[in-house]
Amino acid sequence: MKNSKKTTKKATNKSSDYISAKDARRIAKENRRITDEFEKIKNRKNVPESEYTTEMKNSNNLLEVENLHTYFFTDIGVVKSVSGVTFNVPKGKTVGIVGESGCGKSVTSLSIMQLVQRPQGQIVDGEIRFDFDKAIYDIVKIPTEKMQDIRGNEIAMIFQEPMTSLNPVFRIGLQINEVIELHNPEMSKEDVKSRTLEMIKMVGIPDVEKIYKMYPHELSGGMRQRIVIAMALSCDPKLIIADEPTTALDVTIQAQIMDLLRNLKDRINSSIMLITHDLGVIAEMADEVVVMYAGKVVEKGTAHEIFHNPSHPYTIGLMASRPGIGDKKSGKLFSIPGSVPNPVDMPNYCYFRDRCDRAIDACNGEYPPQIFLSDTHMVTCYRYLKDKGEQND
Amino acid sequence: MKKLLVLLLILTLAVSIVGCAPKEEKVEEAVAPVETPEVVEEPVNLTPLVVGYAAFSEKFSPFFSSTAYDADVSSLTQESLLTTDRTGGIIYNAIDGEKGIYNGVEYFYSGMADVKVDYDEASDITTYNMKIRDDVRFSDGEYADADDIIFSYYVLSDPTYTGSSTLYSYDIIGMTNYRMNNSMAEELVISPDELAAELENPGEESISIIESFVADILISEVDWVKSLYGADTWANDYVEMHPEAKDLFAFFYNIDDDYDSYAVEDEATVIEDILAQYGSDWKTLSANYGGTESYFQPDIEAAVGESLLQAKLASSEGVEVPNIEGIKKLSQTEVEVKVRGFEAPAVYTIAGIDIAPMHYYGDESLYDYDKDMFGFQREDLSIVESKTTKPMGAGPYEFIKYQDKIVYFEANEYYYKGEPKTKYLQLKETTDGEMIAGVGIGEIDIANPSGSVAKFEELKTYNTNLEVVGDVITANSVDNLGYGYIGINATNVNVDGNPDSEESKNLRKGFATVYSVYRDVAIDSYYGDAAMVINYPISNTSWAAPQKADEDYEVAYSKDIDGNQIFTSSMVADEKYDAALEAAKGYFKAAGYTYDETSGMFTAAPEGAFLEYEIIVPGSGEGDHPAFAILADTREALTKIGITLNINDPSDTNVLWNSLDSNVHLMWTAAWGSTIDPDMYQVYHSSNGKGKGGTDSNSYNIADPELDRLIIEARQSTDQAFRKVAYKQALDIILDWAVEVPTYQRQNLVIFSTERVDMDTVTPNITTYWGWMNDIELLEMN
Amino acid sequence: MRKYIIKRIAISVVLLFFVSMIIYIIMRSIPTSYVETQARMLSQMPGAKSYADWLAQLNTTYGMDKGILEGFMQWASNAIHGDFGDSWQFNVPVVEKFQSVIWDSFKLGSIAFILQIFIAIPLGILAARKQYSRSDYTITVLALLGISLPAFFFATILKLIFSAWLGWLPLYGKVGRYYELLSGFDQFFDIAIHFILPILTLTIVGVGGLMRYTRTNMLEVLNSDYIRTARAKGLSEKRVVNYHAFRNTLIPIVTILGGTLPGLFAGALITETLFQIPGIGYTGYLAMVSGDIPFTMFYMVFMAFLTLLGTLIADILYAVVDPRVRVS
Repeated sequence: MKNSKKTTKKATNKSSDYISAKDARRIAKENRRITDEFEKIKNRKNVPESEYTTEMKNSNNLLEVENLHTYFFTDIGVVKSVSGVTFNVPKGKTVGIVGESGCGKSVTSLSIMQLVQRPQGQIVDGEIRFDFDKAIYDIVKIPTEKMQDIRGNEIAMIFQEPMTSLNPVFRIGLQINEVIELHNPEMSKEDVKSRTLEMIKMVGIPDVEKIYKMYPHELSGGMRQRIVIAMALSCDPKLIIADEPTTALDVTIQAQIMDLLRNLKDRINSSIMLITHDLGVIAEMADEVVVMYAGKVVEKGTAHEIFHNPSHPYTIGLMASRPGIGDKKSGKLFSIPGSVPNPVDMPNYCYFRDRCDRAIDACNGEYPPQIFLSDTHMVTCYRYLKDKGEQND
Repeated sequence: MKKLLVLLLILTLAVSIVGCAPKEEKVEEAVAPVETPEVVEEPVNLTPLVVGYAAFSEKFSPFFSSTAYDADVSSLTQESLLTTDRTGGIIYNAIDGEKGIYNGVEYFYSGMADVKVDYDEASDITTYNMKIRDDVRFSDGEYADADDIIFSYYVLSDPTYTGSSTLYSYDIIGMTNYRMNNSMAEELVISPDELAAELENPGEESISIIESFVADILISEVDWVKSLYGADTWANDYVEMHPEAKDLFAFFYNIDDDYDSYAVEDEATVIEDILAQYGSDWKTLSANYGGTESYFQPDIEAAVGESLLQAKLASSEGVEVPNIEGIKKLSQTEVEVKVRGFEAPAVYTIAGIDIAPMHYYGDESLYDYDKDMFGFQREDLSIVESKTTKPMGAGPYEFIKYQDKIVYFEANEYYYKGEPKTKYLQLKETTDGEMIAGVGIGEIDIANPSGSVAKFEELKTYNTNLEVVGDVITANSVDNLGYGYIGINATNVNVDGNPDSEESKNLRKGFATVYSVYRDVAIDSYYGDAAMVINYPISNTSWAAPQKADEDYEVAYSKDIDGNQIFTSSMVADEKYDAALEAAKGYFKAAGYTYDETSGMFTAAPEGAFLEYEIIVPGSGEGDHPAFAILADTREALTKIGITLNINDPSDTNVLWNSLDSNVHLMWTAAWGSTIDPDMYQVYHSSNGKGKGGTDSNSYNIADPELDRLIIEARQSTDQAFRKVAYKQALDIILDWAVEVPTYQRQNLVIFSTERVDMDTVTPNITTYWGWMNDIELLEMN
Repeated sequence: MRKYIIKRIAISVVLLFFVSMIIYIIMRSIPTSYVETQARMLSQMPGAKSYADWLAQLNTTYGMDKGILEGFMQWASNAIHGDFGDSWQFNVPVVEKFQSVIWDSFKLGSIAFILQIFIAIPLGILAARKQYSRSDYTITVLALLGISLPAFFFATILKLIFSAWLGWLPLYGKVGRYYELLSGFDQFFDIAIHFILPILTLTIVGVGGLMRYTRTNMLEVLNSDYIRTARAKGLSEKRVVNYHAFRNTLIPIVTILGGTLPGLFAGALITETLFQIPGIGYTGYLAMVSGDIPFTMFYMVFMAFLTLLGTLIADILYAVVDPRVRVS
């Protein structure tokens, strides 16, 4: 059934991109005020540790993200990239975050690393609790200097674009040495170098000495991504966040990198947070899956649950969009019609309602609440409200 | 902050780079700067006197300086044989000294040489006798004597001399022989018969001379023809008829009826063809170019005559000439120069030389008067030229060096008038606009800025009393030696081809009258206090200039056709303009212009004249010229009566000079720099009109026999009173011809720092001929 | 690398030849030549030879009677032997005159250059780091002022303030009146005092462009992925900006700076004239305007040589700072 295009609450005749001068000034003033407040808090020196020490709700979890709100204060208004995201990363497990472009998964990971571009971007609300063994901190409140100790050391990140992730003017060896030196100042130069070489070997690069001396532009995309992975692993981080590590690579390399990651996963004891829009990767790697849409978590559960029992219409649509060999004979690829709502002007009802082919009357109400289909399986959809555990067609 | 520290460190580093840079070239005559002077009674003031000057071209030579500023540098180190007073008059007995009255005050003048001028009518020879003191010393201690004078004369007379002195152009006995190195040179002349005969049947040499002359003229004519295109000129119709320059050129100059330039594609070929047509036929060319067959006669005669003379000389029995007969050394302190004929202004050039040290500018080993050796290899002035940048002489100051745009001088301890009181003197290059500020702030102590309304205002602001003479700056206004004028070319602005007819004069007077009436307002707005309007074509500084107090002094062009005064004293400006326009109408009518009563405009011009004339004004294309306002107002006024004045303001002044050179100009504005003597021969004598074989300086092409007579008479007289009367008459004739409208006389500023210069020691009553540098040995700092 | 340099040098030699030929042709073709001006001046002296005569004589003296190409060949063959002839305007050998004026210009130029670098680059980086903040706006506006307002405007204002009103610094000139009476360090200090205002003028005028350029490049670099990686590694912001980012911004800056080598010797015509510093700017201008061919040829060819050298250095430096460009 085709959806009718319903207008958003604030109907305007002009295109929604137009902001009048008065509005622009008002927005700018508001933004300034809010961000100044946040900045003031952030720029304090000598924040007492008690402010950011906290407790984990479940001691098996390495990372607990609760009700995270990350907003960007832009010239056309407030963009709510992440509005109320909650999930956990248990120790030693791999969590996959799935969603389409713009759903907020990257911003979530950046929030965890406190890498969101300030002053426009701010973590407005929520907690990110991390278990550092010696302490448990709430990352949202940690001062920047402390965070710099954590980054690369306890939490490491692998980015999407291997071609541009390495500094083009420094040699590979130097770039890996740097992160080891930074977090292990007591190590001697030779030790650092040997550790680097060890890491390079670990990621499956044969000619270790030669690569050590090379520049990034002399390596292929796949090699660079391996180096980035080596860099991320070099300090034995507790959590590795991999933000679409294979999206920019071609399929064969993709497979290699995924193999690498899988092997590493077995050998090290880090948790991995794997962000991707590729369900195949999730299927291979993830223990748990979180499905995000328009800045919110619409469904989460174990990989098994998500793949065999996708509940949210969006998740169902995602599964259906996977091209399969010998699937249906229709020839046309399935795609979910419509597009993500305007991030500045989020409506008050289910974000997916206008694109959903299974919408019911209840969907015209407010945003659906969280419904637990099992201990581990959560979905936010009215279809499951009355009959918990039952499915509807 | 660390950054600030770094910056400071860098500055220190930078400053040290400045110091450690490669040293400037060593100066040959480096003088130890801190030289304690020998036993002197009063303590010598070591504060250098700094004078602001315009940029130098480093030609600091008494022989070769080309700009006035370079000449000033040289003159500080030199002493001249001729002494002049505040009016430009000559002090003949300078060794003993003479008194002179100026402006009611009596002054005492002295110099280093006595000059005697004796004209013997019977032999028609003028003898100039120069006798110098025996205690004149150069700044290196050597004594100056007649040998140095002889040396200087011979340098100036040398055939390879390229400097600005024109000593050699005077008819000194034996000068031509010496320069041509042929004892027959002066006697040998080509008689008119010989010349005529040669022209009738020209030999090979003559033919090629004539042919190349013809070719040069024709080729320059091609350029002239091309210049008619794209410009709005009298030749517009012709330009339309012949769209291509080559054809218009052929139209003007073709003498072969069967020749069709249109058939020939290539311009170069057309030129070649036309050239071939003429060959050596200069007479036809004369006719086509200037209207008469004899137009180029003087040029041809001069060129052919020259070559004949050379030939004659070569084949003559003349021997080599080792010396100049008319220049003789009479004793170690006396020199005599004999000249044929008498001209009043000649003494300024002949006796007005600097006594340059022969042992410095020449080679002492090459000097032996009796053996005809004069201190240098004849026709080789390289020793003299090599000293161009470092002058030395008997003047009050010694040249030390020219460095960093400053000329450094030190007092000449051997100066015959006594060592100058101010030991150190510097001439510092300064832009004209900053001279006043420089004196006010303290960079410089004396300067000569150009005069203008703004400058006067500026300098007043420095003085507490807000006047031109105050506690910070003392300013003197001095008349400039020269004046501005509007010129009208009689050859091209006339009626029926007769430049001297009454009609032609009236035509020109018509224009002149309107120009004249607008002078006051234009000059006042452009110059303000810095210039004044003059009414006679002569610089106001000259003793020959009519003064307002004189009985017969008249405002230029203030009479109408009947001789009545146009203006009354009660008229306001606008009334004057109208009255002038009316008078102009009268003149045009008398010139033969057809006047239409109803429209109030002229509708037709008589034969040879036009309703439209062009005037060239060198205003850099922007109207930046003091006379520009005059022209603009005149144009507006004349349009009312149907006469069109086209103002041509080219951005390249060479347009003006080229027009003057080729005698195509109609009217123009320019300024004369005058000489100290009011002699008018160069500029107003008919023989110096364009193309007449003379100086070509008579751009007005005025040719009045009475005027010529007056000029020659005045030139040959020593009686100043007589000359003054003669010149007044001459000026009236020039005004009657209406070929020149004298416009303005500028004032130059000489400013002193009252704070630093002891004004009591500055020479009083500075005039055009008596600058502040006179008596500089007396000038003291505070 | 060596082969590359050799190839570039060979090309430069050829270029230099043609450039000097073009300059010579232009100098010969300008409407009023030195010879004509001289002839006109000399012929206007009372009693002097006519214009045509003088023209002929001077043409021979100055070698202008040859054809254009022939004249150029003559010049070139002399130049190769290091003989650049005598300057017509200044009557001394060209090289001598040049040497006497170039060093002052060089001092002014190089000190201003260093100052510019040390002011512009840090400020540009600051502006980029704190984009859209107050400091950013202030710096950008200052940069714009520096670029837009002309040199003579600044010079006059500086003179007004520091010379006329405060009396701290001299109005113009290279040395003061007591220079000859001073010794050693005092002399050097005298010159230094006189150079302050001209250097200040040159610096103000030149700093704006470099500042904006640095800011733009820095912004681009700061927004790039590898900076994000650097931050993700846990590096302090200082290290990220001053080491990782700066090293990359250096690439375009260094290449621009390499190309300003000729500028150090070009002299600053306006500034030198305003402050009466005997530098190459005014001298070169005077020579060119009066049609002094030997001097202008030498000066222009020298500048061409420096330009070629500058671009070569810029290219080499580019390879030094950016490993991506290196040819193996």
